[in-house]
Amino acid sequence: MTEKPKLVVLDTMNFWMDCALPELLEVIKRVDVITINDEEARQLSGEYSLVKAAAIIQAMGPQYVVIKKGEHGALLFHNKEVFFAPALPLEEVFDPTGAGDTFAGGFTGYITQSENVSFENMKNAIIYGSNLASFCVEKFGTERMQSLDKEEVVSRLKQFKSLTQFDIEL
Amino acid sequence: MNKLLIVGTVAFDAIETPFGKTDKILGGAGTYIGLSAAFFNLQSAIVSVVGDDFPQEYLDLLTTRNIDISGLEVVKGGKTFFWSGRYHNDLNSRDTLDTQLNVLADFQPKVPENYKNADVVMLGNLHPLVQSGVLD
Repeated sequence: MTEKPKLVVLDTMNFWMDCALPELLEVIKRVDVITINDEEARQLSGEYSLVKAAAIIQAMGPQYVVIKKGEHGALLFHNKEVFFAPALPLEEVFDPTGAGDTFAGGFTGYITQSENVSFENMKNAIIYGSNLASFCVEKFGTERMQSLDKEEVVSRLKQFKSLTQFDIEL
Repeated sequence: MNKLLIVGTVAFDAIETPFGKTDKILGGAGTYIGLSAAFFNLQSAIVSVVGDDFPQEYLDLLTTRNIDISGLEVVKGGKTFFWSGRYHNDLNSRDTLDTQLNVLADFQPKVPENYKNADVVMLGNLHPLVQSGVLD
């Protein structure tokens, strides 16, 4: 790279923890955000609690840790703060292949478009990531992502909003 | 428009779930990241490698989504990375049935000149040395 990017995001998996851990730890030092699933976060940190795991992984380098929990959504950690994006309860999950990558594409796509790398904006980014991933799993492979249009994306975003809004007065 | 640089596999997958199975179909982290990011207002490029067994229609699919594939190397006489897996009933766990690295084994990522100033870099699942190489 000739210029330092505004944000570098890394996705990895347990396979590299098993067979290339020193190299993995080197690249983790150099990124701003890491996205991994819950079991991988436990393996990388040696901690069962995802809160403790996220703190240990932040100490390895990335200021932001996104822990993907499949059908249970995703957690975003930054310093002592945490934000949760649900996964939409779907009638049909056909094939989870690519869901994590689709999440990462939605996350980085939104950040790139919005030019904002704040924690507040990353909250929206993980919602966009979850939203797009919810489509990916509805058909085999990339089939659903190929037929998907922007209106469907916006319509489901509304479902995401209503899924998490409540009116308790505090 | 802002630029997103994507590094990740472009591959063939063969998948079995409790609901059915597929032959070799389009897959790979870079592919899924690219198709997903295409829903935003941005410029994107995928840095990856495939063999010359990779169908033109899949390359066309990426370009129709305005994804720059000038950094997607096609190795003459090479075979595309292939992964095959079977999901368990909970769909959360899976067994890998076959992994053929093929052209991925010697992959040296080449970032297109006009993406060396990308605003955001997404390092998809790959060997950590390949991921590091892109940042140098």
